[in-house]
Amino acid sequence: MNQTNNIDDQSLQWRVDVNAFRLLGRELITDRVTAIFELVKNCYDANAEEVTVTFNNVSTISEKSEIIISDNGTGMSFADIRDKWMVVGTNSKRVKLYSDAPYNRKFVGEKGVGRFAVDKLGARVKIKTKEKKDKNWLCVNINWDEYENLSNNAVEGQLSLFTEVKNKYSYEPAEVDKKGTKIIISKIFDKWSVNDIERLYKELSKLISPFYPVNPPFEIKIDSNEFISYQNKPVKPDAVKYYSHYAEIKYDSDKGMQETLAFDSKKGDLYKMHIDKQNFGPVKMRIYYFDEGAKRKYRNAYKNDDTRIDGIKIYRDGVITTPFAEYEDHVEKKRDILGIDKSRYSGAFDHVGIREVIGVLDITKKDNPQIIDATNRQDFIDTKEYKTLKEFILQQLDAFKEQKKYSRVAKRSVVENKLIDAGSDVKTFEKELSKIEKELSKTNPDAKKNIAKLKEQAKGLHRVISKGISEQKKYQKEVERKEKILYSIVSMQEFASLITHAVRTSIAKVKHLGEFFKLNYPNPKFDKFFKEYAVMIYNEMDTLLSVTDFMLSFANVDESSFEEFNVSTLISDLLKKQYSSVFRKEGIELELGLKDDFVIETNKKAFQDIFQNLVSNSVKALTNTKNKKIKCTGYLNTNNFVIYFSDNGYGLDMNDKDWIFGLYNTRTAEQGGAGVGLYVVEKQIKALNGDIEVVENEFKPTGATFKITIPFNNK
Amino acid sequence: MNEITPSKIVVIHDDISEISPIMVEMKVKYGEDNVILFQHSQEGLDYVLNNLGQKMVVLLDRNFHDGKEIDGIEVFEKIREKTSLVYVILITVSKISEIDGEVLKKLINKDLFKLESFTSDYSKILKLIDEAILVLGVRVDAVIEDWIMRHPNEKRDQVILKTKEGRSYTMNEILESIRMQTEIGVTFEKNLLKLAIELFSRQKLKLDD
Repeated sequence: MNQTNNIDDQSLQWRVDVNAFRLLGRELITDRVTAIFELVKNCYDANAEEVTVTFNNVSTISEKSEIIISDNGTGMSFADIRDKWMVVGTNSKRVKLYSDAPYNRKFVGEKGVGRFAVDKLGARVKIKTKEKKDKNWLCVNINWDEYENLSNNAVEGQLSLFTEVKNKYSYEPAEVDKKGTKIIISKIFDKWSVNDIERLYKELSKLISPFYPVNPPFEIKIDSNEFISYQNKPVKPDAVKYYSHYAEIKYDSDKGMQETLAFDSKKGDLYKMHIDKQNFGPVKMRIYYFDEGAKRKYRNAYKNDDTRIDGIKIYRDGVITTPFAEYEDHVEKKRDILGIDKSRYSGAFDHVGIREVIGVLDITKKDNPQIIDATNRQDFIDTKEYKTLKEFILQQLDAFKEQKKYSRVAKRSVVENKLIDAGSDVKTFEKELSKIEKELSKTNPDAKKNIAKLKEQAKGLHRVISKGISEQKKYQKEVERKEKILYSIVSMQEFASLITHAVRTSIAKVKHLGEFFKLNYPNPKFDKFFKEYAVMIYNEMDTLLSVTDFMLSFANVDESSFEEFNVSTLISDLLKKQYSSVFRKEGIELELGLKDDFVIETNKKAFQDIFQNLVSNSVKALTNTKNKKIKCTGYLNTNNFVIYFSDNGYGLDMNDKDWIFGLYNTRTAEQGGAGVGLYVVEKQIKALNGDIEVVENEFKPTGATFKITIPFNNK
Repeated sequence: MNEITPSKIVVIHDDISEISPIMVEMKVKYGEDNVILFQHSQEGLDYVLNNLGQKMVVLLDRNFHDGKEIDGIEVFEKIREKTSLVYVILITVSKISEIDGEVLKKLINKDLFKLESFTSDYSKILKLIDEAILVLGVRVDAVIEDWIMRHPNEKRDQVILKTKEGRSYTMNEILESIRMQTEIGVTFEKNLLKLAIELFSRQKLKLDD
């Protein structure tokens, strides 16, 4: 071995063992479909307009088996091969972001490892390449099997270096204008079945947007001399079939407005709205949604393979953006780049996940410059614009979520209505029979017997249908009950996490106050703080108690605590009787205007809590008001019982109108407000399927008014 | 002139008030004027960005009750966009396992100084602040920043460095490049260190003589 020995000049240098070829190719690229996918991406980066992946005699392994990837791209010069291609770790793509004009393609290839992908495919590689200006094809032979032999037969104590293996090159004559690169892989390692090629086809078809013309074009072909279905077959994005719903939005350049999707719950349709141009620039998007039936059809058509339903992908100028260009064989391992599955769509039933939609979002380099692929290729740079874009995509899925919910409810009523129709049909049939019976009793007494039998059968049928209807209703109730439980589990999770954080914050505060005592008591320098801190500990503990009480009230809900009561009576009893002494003492004038009766069945104690909390807030807010007033009115409208609850206290900032319902959110911390009351109120009302909001106050200029709506159908 | 100006402790946290034990202790320890509290994140961020010349340790809350506030992670990122010389200690009530992996990666890669739980003893948090102040005092870039900032503004606009290529830099430009850790800033720091070592060794020789 001719080893470099630099002992004389007192320096050492790295050398690379021949084994390195395994690290570079075989172990870095895990799958042979990925290997070809990477090589094709390199063709795109080399400004090719056409690339053909040829499979010759690959169904069995023989001397004649070969895989050829050939393109008409720029090709490589001798210097390119010597100084770039064959230098491990170089990647001209790192320095430049885009390929040469006129193509200006955003590089999609791997960081300088794509070239080693060939080692995954076969033991012998011949690279045939030519730039337009060159006269001959430059042919380089790389025999990975020789590297392998060297590696396997290494004699102990002797080094075989990766960089010392000679790779032969030669020239072959060529036509003048030809250019491009051909990678011919022989001595292939594995057989390729038609299914393997189909898998490759499927992956390659994702490289180009189905909707946006790549200009200049990039056309991929697969050519097999064995499988008829893949003879010179152009790789085209699959037409999406079998979907149940489809929507397309674009940017309206005339109006300067972006289209966005919404759902009309009255008509049951998706529709488009116009919004201002978004900060991420104009986008075009197509979404195909697959409901259960559509997914079934899809699976049947594609032999149980529904991996093509794989969420929303972003294409730039017609070519897939790098975060989506990473091939992953196992669907479960695919990364949810846009965060669709872990997004706020955590509703158990109406969630629209990445396995239910195929979507293409087209952006352009020119119009969406702030959507930038991260250099690690795993994601996009987290710019403000990208954040809004993600949010925008989720909004589009929101419309489909509404659609899903609508269909679920609609489907339910169709079944129920059909049963009811059948019931009434049988009833009519019975009546008709009775008529016929009467008529026949005179003319044909024998027929009467038969008719009586028929009548009996019809009755039986009617009983069965009636039973069916009641069973269906019971079943429906059971389903709804289960849904409700599931929903409450989901919201309990969120609730538990919120409460835990709030409680931890409180405990931390108390702990710090205690720690201060531990470290400083009885240092007279801090005397004024000791007293103050004792009060703070007391107040904080009080808050903690009210939070835990509320948690307990959630835990203790059982059937027996449910009862029927009249809402109007309950409120007026509560305010007139229970609070009369408080109101008198505080000098508060009460005005009650509860018009209608409304009876509901729910947890009476929880319902009282709502008003106790509201009253307690009002009393605090009225402390410094002169003519103190609390007003409560209520009436029935078409679907709801509506209650207005107002006071003329110091009021609240309308900017806080949603915020004040959050746990521990208070603007009155100094007056001992803990930010628990309104949180409890909102949760109790939501449990009745109702709603509470802050509306314009009745007692201007000061004061606050809450509007509570409780639907009739609150189960 | 050689005395290093004291660091400011900027607290951006909505669960800490002026009379919270940690504030009381810090004011005693670092001086009333050197501890500033902001209960709104945007106000805290504005203060930091408007006072980049001041040596600062930021005690930053991760989550604010008010959804309209920008969250701590974003405040941290915004600070990092402008300077690497402010030390940020992130305080959170969440357990570390509750923090998203991507967020953690971001915090580490953008050089968060420390991460501590709000439920820890406040004396532990104070120790972290001490550590930050100490490190700020010996960090070459921070010391250079401090030195530059002690010059009057007109002086800072005068050229103090010329490169071999003929480009010249004012103190303010050098400061900016040190904050952003650009090539020129880093080179300046390296050269200064080299110079310091050289001076130091000459001095030593002299002493030995």
